[in-house]
Amino acid sequence: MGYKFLIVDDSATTRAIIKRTIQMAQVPTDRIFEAPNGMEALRLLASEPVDLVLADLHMPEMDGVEMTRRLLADESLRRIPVVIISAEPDTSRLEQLKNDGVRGYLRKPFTPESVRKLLTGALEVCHA
Amino acid sequence: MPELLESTITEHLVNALEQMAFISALPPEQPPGPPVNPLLVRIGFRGPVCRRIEMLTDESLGVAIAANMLGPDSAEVPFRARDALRELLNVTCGAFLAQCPLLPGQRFEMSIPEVQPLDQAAWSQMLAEGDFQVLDAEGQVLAIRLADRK
Amino acid sequence: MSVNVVVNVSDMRISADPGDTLATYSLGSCIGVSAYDASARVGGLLHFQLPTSTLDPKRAQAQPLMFADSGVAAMLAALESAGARKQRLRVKLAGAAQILNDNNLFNIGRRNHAAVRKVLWQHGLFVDSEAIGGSAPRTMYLAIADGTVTVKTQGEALTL
Repeated sequence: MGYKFLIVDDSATTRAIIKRTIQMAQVPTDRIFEAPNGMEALRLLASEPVDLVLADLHMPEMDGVEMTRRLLADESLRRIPVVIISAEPDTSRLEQLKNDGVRGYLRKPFTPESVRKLLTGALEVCHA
Repeated sequence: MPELLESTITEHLVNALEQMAFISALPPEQPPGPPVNPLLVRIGFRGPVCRRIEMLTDESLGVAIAANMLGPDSAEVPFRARDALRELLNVTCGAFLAQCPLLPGQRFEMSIPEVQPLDQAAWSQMLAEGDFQVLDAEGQVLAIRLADRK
Repeated sequence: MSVNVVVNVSDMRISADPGDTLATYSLGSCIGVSAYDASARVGGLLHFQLPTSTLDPKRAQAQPLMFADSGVAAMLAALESAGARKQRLRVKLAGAAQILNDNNLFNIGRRNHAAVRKVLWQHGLFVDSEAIGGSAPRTMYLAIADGTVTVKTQGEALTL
């Protein structure tokens, strides 16, 4: 019995690093899902509840800002915590997302240690 | 018009390569030889200034980055080389723009990076145009510049 | 600090004796790597100088502890032989200073740091804390009794 994660990033390499970091962090993990953009992420979330979404912002098809907006507007999905991992240069945009309900963010380039801190912090707050 | 601090772009590239891929990049001791699999990687940004960042390299650098990030035995490494280079430029661009001073209400929007194979002649000609900062990334050639957005 | 095990340059020591304190000195561009398993109460300290053994395979064969990759691999193997489990190790780093007479911006300390982070990532290990960079040399201590890592820089002590 463990957590379910969804990693949303158009870079498969970045998704692989985040996935490996989650595994290394020895957080009890049931499954780690992946999606290359916001559209695929929402499709997956419609049938598969997860405990934490780790999402990029700049993605084709549907970016992370729109995906987050739709998640937060959906009664059945808004309880799912979201953290952002992005190369977004504008701090005010990231802070606005936090004001809107995102639980935290991390700028790229990231280290595995900073991802571990972000995800354990988000899990502690949401599942305390 | 914000000052783009062009001279810092190399520093952000070096930092991104080190932090995410554990690869060090230094000024080359000699001019680089022609790459075996030449690539051009590009990303554009719009805002108070519209420009493009261009990166010339060899696909083998992408393989090295992917191998470091995924593990050298991962079967995915050869397939992730170009993705790794796109992400490197994405991260570099974001870090570069993050330190550009802006007025309230101003904002940059970045495009999705693209990778384009070039033949050796076109690659070398582009490098010879000038304005590129050239690096040796543990034996692989890497060159970057800020260009006009066409 | 009562030190009874000194780790020299390009050297590594392991201990399971709670009375031991390991120390390594003159960490300039070099990096000290400590690894400690609190359950087994086994720890190790490595002092390496250069990033990659493949740059000098002959020397790496003779002195594997000189390099980040071969040095860390050797330390992990020794720790596991002494009863530590890799998944329980807490790893800390100190060093990678830019030596004052090295005016190359892309210096060996920085390359050492990238190299050791790479080998730790490949082994599935995080860096739990570090004291890296700057221009002053450091001394690093590991107390086997409880895994406390202390770093001294210009007379000031920091617990990592």
